[in-house]
Amino acid sequence: MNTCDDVSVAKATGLTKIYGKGEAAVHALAGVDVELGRGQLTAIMGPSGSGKSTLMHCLAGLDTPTDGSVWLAGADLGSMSDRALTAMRRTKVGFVFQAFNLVATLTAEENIVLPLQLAHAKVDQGWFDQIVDVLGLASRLKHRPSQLSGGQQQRVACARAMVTKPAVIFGDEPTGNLDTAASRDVLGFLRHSVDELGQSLVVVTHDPGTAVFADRVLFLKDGQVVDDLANPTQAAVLGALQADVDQAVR
Amino acid sequence: MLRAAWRDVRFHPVRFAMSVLAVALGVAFVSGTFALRAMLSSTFDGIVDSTLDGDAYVLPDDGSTYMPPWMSEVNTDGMVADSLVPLITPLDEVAVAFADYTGPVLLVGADGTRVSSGGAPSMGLVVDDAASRDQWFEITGVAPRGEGQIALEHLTAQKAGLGIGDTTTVVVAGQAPREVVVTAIVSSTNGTPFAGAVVVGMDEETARAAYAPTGAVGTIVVRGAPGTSQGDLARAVAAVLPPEANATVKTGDTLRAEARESINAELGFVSMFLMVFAVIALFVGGFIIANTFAMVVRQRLRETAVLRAVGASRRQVFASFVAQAAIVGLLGSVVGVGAGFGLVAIIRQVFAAIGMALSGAVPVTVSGLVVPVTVGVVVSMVAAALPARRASRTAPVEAMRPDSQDTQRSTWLRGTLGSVMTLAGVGCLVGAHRAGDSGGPLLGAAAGLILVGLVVAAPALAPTVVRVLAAPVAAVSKPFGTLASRNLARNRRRTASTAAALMIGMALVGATTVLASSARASVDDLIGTQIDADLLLDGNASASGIPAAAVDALADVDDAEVAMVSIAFGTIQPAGGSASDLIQVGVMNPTLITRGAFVPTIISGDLASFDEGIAVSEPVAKRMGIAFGDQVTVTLARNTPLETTTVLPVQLVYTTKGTSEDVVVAEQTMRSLFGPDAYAQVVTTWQGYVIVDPGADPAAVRAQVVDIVAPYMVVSVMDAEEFASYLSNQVQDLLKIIYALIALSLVIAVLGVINTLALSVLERTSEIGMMRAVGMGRGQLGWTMVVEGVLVASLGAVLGVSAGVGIASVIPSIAESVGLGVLSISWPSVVSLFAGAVVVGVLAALWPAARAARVPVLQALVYE
Repeated sequence: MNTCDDVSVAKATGLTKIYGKGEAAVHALAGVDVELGRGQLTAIMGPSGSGKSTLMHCLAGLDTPTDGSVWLAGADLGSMSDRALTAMRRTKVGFVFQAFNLVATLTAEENIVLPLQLAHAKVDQGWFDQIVDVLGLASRLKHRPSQLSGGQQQRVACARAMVTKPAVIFGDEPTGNLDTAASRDVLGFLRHSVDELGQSLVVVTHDPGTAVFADRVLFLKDGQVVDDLANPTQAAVLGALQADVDQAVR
Repeated sequence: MLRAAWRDVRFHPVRFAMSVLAVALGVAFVSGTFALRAMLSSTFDGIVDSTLDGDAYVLPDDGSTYMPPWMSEVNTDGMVADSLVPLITPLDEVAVAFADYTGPVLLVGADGTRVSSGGAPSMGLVVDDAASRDQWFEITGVAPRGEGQIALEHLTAQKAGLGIGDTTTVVVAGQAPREVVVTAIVSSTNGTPFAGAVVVGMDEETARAAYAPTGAVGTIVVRGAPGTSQGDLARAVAAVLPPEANATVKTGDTLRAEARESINAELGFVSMFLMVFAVIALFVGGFIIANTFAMVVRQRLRETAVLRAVGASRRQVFASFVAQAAIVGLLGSVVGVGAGFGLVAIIRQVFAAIGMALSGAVPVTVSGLVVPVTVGVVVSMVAAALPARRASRTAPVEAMRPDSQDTQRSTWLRGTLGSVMTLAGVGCLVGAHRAGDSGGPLLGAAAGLILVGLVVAAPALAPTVVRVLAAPVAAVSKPFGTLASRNLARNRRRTASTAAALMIGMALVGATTVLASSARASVDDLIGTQIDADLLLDGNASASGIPAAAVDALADVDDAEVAMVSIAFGTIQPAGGSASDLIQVGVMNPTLITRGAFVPTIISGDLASFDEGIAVSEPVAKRMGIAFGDQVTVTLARNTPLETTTVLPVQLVYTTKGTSEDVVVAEQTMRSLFGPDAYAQVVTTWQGYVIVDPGADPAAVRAQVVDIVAPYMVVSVMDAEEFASYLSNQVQDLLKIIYALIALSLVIAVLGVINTLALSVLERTSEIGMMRAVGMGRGQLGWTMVVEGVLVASLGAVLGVSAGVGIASVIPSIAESVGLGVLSISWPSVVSLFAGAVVVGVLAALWPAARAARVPVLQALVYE
């Protein structure tokens, strides 16, 4: 049974995640239902502790939900073994984290092709060149991460996420450690990959500047989706956040 | 800050356990060595106290330190005449005096084979019921009377499976085998075991006939009358000894002290050997401890920064680390001392299993406890001090910055210094090779310089060597070889010190392998070029060699010539020169040489005309300025009542492979100088050669020879091929002990590899999580760890084996004179060492790999 149709790349129903037990139990996710569009850049926003990272981890198969189900690229993650999840991550999912993105001992090029090598897959040289070209990394391929700037490191991470042609790329604060210019660079590339290459993207962020690049913004609070904006403007995003703050003040 | 240090210990139990384990292993080796040494010497001291309980002793006046006869393989000491006893007995101060008739014996057990003493003496002595005699034993049964009866020490009886009333066979000294009845069991009054010694008692007359047919004995034992001090007794006895007796008197206390001293000197070799291993173990343990603390400090860097940010001083941070090291060191040392005693208990079981009972309890001495614990604590604190100093100097902000993993201090200085030392070592090695016989000290210097040089240079060498080693893996298993080798190169210092621990063990194994194969090749060469007999007889199984009675009986073999090679000791003195030290005098039948069984290289003289003169080996001739045709004064059986001096012409100057400096006289000359009884006391026959007459049936001759010697139990009959295997097997047995010790140091090194890998898993948690997130499977992660383990082990093996094999390859150049002149490197063994290293690497990686694979992806990702 395939519950993901042509328009959604990932879907969660009744997603619940509880950390701890009894008195100390924390409901990180309290019954979330979301469907993420194919070929869309979806941003997940929310204050610290809202459960946005947990949601992403569950959607990406990095964490197992306490209750509810997750379909990713047409497959039910709930029934998967660690081995199947690993294969899934290798082929269907790309990741861009805030830090610890690259293997320090490998060059940029080696970092980019790492998932392919882990999967014993061949490098599609044309695709590789295209990504490297778009990201402007051609002259940096032989460098080690420590010889790259923060922005360059994140672009290498983006290239690594793209190289396997995944169904979806998850970004966890991908610009969190970058200055304004570098983050605009990286976000521009992510937007480009959605528009030109039809890539599906899910980005967790608390930066409204990031959210405006998105096709859709989900607002999370206390483990629940509290708002859902399509084609957001900066004003709309700020408005939604402000509403949140107002609610809190009241 | 002390509380912070203790908290850290409590909250990171694995990290803590690893550090404790590292200390414990090093300390276990040290304390084990001390305990084993103490146990050996207390065992031998026990034997001294129970067998040497006289108040005064009459000894030959040769100025030497007393050595119990059962400690020395060949009795080169002087002797005194037992005719002195009647002069001593009537003295008022003397209760009893008797000659100590002691010597080698061979006992046949209930199963019809020789009762083995496992390296300890197999001795016969006097046991009778005269209450005034030796009182070291309690007797059960009836004391033996006459040639047909014996007593057995109770452990000997147990080992032999014999009891009172049983009949068996003994060979006493050089006499023919004879049937005897066991009439008594004796046991030591103070319960000291005899270290596995076989002890057979007989009556005085029988013992005298066997051990002192000429009346010459090692010592005369005197017991004082009640109330006489040892000093007064000794003076009274000395007063009645005639000057021509060439005898002196020592008090019992002096003699016992001398005996202990000479035993300790003998055991000193064993102790030295063990201490070398302990030092290596500590060295290796120190590496592991330093590694561990370097990692602990690195992991705690951020926490340290927080402490510094809230106001902790440098000194406090430093003190916190060092205090933690002290806790780890103390705990590890205590565990280690316990483990060391456990180790010794195991060793004692092993010794007991091969028939060598050691003193009952593992001795717990203050120095055996305090020294290893102090060493463990101090090494831990010193090992922690360096990284702690670095940590305390890190600026708080710098430490808080994430991921500064790629920073690497330069290894240029260490690389240069180490290379210079290694090259200097290689220079010494070449020098040692050129120097030949006298190259020993140079070789030692070379070994030290090369090994220390490699340890120093290892961090600089590691990245390149690892990359080369990883190339094949990287080629077939794309990201893993690269990942593993780069990980190792990233922490080159840690990689180098982990590998260094293994390197030292591997160098020892490599060197030992070369020694073993060279020894075998040398033996083959010796037999191939210098011995051309059809059969060889060997009496090394007994401390007294081939019994004289067997030698006599062998003269009757038909269709063959049988000739013996015997050894005596004496001095030689050229006309107008001074006398030599005591040297070995070979006693041979000239037909042996003329028929080609033994083929020396002749420098001057003619083999065929060698008969009643003396043959002198070239080194002795050179040193003493002796030439062909000179007249030489030869003194044999020095410092004994049998002492004989004669003048012989030098008829041959020769050189041989594998024989030490010596001289040879013809058997006939020797026999005419001494009567048959004295000949048997002065000369020990170790080997014999049988040359079958042309046309005779060798198998028939062999059957005859075997029939004659079989009852003596100690004579092996071998052809050249069997003899070669036999000689090299003796070497192999020795090597087994060395291998066992090396195995222990390797175990420590392997634990070091495990420790390093496991801690690097902890350290790389976030990187591991990220790689798992982008699709690295558990198996692949484990495989990366295994490759890392194998690479570290191979690095150690490459450096160690090359160093060990290289150093040992020079030994034949300097050890030719002791029979190890042929270099042979067994390449299959060397290859198997590398294979072993790979296995070691895999084994060491298993646990860390499993640990890494079990890390949940998400937890790893959000770690810290």
